[in-house]
Formats: sequence, C-alpha cells, structure tokens
Amino acid sequence: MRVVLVAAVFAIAACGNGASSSDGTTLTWWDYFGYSPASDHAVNDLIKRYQDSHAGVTIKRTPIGFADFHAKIVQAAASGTFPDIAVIDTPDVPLLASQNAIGDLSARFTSWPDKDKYLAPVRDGMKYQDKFYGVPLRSNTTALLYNADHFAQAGITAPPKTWAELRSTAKALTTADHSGLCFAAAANEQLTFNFLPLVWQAGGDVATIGDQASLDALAFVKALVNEDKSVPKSVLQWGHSDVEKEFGAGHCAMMINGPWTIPSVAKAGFAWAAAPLPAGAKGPASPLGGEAWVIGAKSKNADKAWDVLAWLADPKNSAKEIGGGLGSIPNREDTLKDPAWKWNTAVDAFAEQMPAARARSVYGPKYPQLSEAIWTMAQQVMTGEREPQQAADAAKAKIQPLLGNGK
Amino acid sequence: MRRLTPYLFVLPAVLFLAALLVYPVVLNVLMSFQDVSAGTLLGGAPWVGFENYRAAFADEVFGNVVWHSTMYAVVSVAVQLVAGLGLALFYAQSFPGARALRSLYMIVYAIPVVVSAELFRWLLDGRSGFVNWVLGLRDVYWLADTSLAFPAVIGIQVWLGIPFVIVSLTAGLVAIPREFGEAALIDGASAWQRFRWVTWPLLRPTVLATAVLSTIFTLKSFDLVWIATQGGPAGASEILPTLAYRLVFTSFLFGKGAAIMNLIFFVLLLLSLLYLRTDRSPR
Repeated sequence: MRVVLVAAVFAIAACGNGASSSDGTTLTWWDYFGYSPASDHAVNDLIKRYQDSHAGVTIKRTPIGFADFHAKIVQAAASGTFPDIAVIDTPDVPLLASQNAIGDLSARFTSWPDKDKYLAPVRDGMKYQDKFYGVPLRSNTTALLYNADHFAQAGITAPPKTWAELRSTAKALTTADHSGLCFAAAANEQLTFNFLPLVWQAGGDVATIGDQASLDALAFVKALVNEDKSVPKSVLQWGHSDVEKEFGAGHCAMMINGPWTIPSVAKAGFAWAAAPLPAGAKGPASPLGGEAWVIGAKSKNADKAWDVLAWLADPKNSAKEIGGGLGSIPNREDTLKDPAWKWNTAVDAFAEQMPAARARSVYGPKYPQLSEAIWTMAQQVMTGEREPQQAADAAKAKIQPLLGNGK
Repeated sequence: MRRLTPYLFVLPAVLFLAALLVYPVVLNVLMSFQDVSAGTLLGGAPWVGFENYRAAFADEVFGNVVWHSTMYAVVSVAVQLVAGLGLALFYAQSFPGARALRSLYMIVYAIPVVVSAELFRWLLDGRSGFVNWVLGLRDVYWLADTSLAFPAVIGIQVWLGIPFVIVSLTAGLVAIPREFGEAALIDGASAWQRFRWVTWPLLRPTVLATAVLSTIFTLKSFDLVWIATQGGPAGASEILPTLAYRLVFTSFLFGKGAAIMNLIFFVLLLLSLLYLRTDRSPR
C-alpha cells in the first residue's frame, strides 16, 4: 500500500514538472487571498486577465491560509522553494528583505514611470535600506465606522472629529445593549495597528515611546476602557474580524476597522457610514496597511515576473479586481478621486486619509518585536494592570535596544 | 544474510522515526546554539554558544511564563484527576444509562480543540457570554481580565482533559476483579474502606500513568491558549509553547524560540521516562 502511495506521489510530481516545461514560462504565485470567495475570485480574475493577453505565460497560483502564510513563506525562503511572485503583508517587506528572501527591485522600480504615481507613504512602504523590494498591490487604512441608527437614538448628528468628541460620543452611545466604541485589542499586531495611530495623533512615534505623547495615548484608551467603560474590556480578546461581527450584530455603536469590513457591514441591515479617524492634539494620522507583490530572491523568471507586476499594477488592467474585488482603497494620485475606485460610498472616508497614512515598514526588520512591545504596553494599561507611566517605561526599555542596531 | 533479515523488517520503522522524530529534534537542538535567520534556516547560520538560552532566560517575561506553564500543568492535571476519578467511579456503577452517559463525555474528546476554544471565547465573553448569564454576572471579562484569564484557561483545559482521565481510569477500574470488592463487602467493609483498601491500591498504577500522560499533554498544549487569549491580556496567560511560537513565527527569532522548545522537550522527555517506569506495572 505504502509503495503504491509513494509511486502515486512521484507520478503526480512528475506530471507537475512535465506540464511546466512544455512551452512558455510558468510563474509560481503565492498569496493569502483565499479567505473569502470574493477575494479568491478577484485574484483568479487578475491572473486570468494577464494570461489572456500574454500568450506563453502561465501563472500557477497557490492560495495559502493567512494563519499559515508567515510560517510557509519563511520555510520557502530557507529551502529555496520561494515562489516567483508572492503577495505579502507590507510590514513584512523589511523583514523578508533583511533575510535575503525577496529580490531587490530597485533598478526596475526606479526606471518605472508608474512609481511616481503612488502616494508617498505607499511607495515608501516598499523600501528597506533605501532599496525597493515590492510593488504596491492593495492598500488600506482604518476609519471610524458608525451605526447611524444608534447615532439617531442618542441624538448625535455628526461623527466625532477630535479625541474629546470621540470620548464624549462613545460615552453617550454606551447603553445596556451596546458599547460606544470597539476596536481590535487582542495580544497581536492588530492592536498595534490600532494603537500606534493614537500615538502619532498625539505627536509621538515608536522611537520616542515613554514621552508625553505616548502617555497621552495610553491615558486616552485607559479613560475609554476603564473610566467610561464605553469600550468593552472584551476587545482585549478580539481581533478585527471579531469587532466586525460585533458591530454587525449591533453590539458596538462605532468601530475602528478597515475597508475589508464594508461588504459584511453593508449586509448588516442598519444605516451606517464611515468617517476619518478623529484627530489628536497634533492632528490626524492613520495606519497604512495592505499587501505588496514581491519577487523571490532566487527566482529564475524575475524579468517575466516583473512584467506581470508592472502590467497588473496598471489601474486600467486591474481597477475592478483590486478595488471592489479585494477592497483596496485607491493608493495613487491618479486613482484617489477616480470614480472607478469608489466601489462603495464609504471609500471616501478611507481615501481622504491615504495621503497622510503612515507605513509600519519604516521601522525596519525588527518591527515585529517593536510591535509586541507596543501592544503589550497598551494591554497592560487597558487591563488596569499598570499605570501609563509604568507601562510606557517598560516598553521604552524594550524598544530602545531594538532601535540601536535595527536599521 | 539471514541474520540481517529481522533488521530489514525493522528498517522502515527506523527510517520513519529518524526522519520524523530524530531529525527535527536534532535540528532544533542545533538551532538553539545558532543565530538562525530565514535565509539560514537549513544551515550556514553562525554559532553563538549559549547566547539564545541566555537571552531566553533573561527575558523579563520568562520567569512568569515558566510559572504559568507549571501551574497550568499542575493545577489542571490535579483537578482533572480528582474530577475524573469521581466520575469514573460514579459511572462504573451499573445503573440504567451509565454507559450512554459515559460515552457522552467522549464527545468532548472528539471535538477539535480549535472548535472548543473558539466556543469558550464566546461563552466566556464579558457582555454577551453564556457563562455570565448563567451565573447572573455582568461585565466580568473572563478572558480579558489579567486576574481571571489564566484561571479561566485552566478551567477550559480541565474540561478538555477530563474525558481522557475518565476513559483511562474506567479501563483501570474494569480490570479490577469484582470478587475483591465483593469479598470485602462480605467482611463488612464500608464503601470508603473498599475504595481505600481494595480499589485504590489496584488503581494506583493507572492513576499514576494517567497523571503523567495528562501532564505531558497539558505542558505541550498550545492551541487552546493560542486561540482563547493568545497569551494575553498583557501576558497573563502566556505559557512556554505560545511564547516559543511567537518568537519563531512572529518575531523570526528562531534560535531563541528553539531554546525554549528544547526546554519544553527536556521536561517532556523526563516525564516520558517517568511514564515508561510507571507503565511497567509492579506485580
């Protein structure tokens, strides 16, 4: 039995090889867009579109679960099986670049006319040590989505524009049935994605955590969770998707979340809208999220792979799939106001924030450790375990050595 | 040639074990002495001696995490054994439906941990959770409170672990000849005396083996904590396996993660040896 199995496996493997060498080029492509049928179809459509107009090139796509993706891509880098093209989470660009897993695209990128069309933060998100390693695919940021029915019941007419307004609005919206505000605050990167913008809005940054701005941000979440209780403590175990569900179920009057939630919110059966994130003492700031196309460092088909990326990155070839299909917010000067990218009325609230959105990849390859220090600090304050000052001091002690030799 | 034949028969099993067991263990030990990055995962990483172990032990959370792991195993195994023993004795009596009820416990065993953990996340929710509703509590955030999250996770682990204890102790109870208990009954022994002097001495090896096995399962358990709390809030429920996973797969600190895995491995190895000893039932 075992012999038969082994033979079968080899036979299948042999078939796979045979097919690829028959004619033309076969490019391998990995992504984690299989999480929903809509995103899955969008990527298949993109690939089909390219293949239909480029005879002789076959793209072999492997969708991988988001939870396994990180581990899979690292193993692939080590074992030399990294695909020609991979779609990765943008903050991972410096990490994979520093570990020599992905190829330096600087020469191609700098001579590519489209590069100047991208918004500066989007373009800079592709960089590691002044070299370009990726092509922006999907971009997004967060916004304040609110339940307009809850607003009407509480007699609130406009979404909050400042921290003070956010606090009072959240408090006014908190009832026995629903909380005022929800955002992902579980012990992972999603909390940093939500908390770091507050630090920026207060005028601080990762390198200066421990200063007044970071204390202000911590004091603000502390007030929301522990004093007003307008943010339920449950958020400490919720990710973006849990928050999306709770908002959809009417348990949260407002949520901070990304554009990927729009399709499900639209089906929730209540009136809703989106507004830019409220501004802090030092103005507005929002986090830049999204994915980049990268090319494997050892890819033998790097030229062909680049052609694919450059062609697919052109909005006239892909606006429908990347916009509506994958839920991207326009990330180029020429698409920001383009109606073709306005796949939902809520897109505007997100798009408005894009020019000033901030990328996490500027923090270099040690970002995952920096991020852990930040979310731990935020959790310590939100649980009431530590005072803002103590938590910030502890985070500073972890962050400073990482910055020293990180870049 | 003929003398080699038996070894040839064993060869597939040996190869299988070498590839799937020995190779990863050895690789992990080597990795813990190297500064490994994604590019050098399969070799070529510089040697750093005990630096990874030093870094792991010096980590400010390390002491806490070791304490959590120890308590996680000790408390949940102790509770599982007491509750499991009680239930096993109860269902060992013959009354209508005893077998059917006992098999119901196996359902718990059949549910993937991922499902159970996800279920408990919502059962224990502070606002809309079923547990709070039953207990008449409000705003008790079981998994989001630093003082409750760890006990709550231990509670879930107990729930998950009890079926195994019931099954193995029931097997032990069934193996005890009825005549012993009946003889003691005729001699006028009370229920407690029959348990204490007849059942317990004969059941003890089974209890010990079950305890060791449960400890091993609990110490290496990762999925429950990872799904329920991800070690949070603020590290309140972090255990060694979740810490190691985070180091390797989020921070890409392969060497440091390997050092912690080896620590777990070493403890599990000692426990396994202990189990092998208890398994040789003294006659």
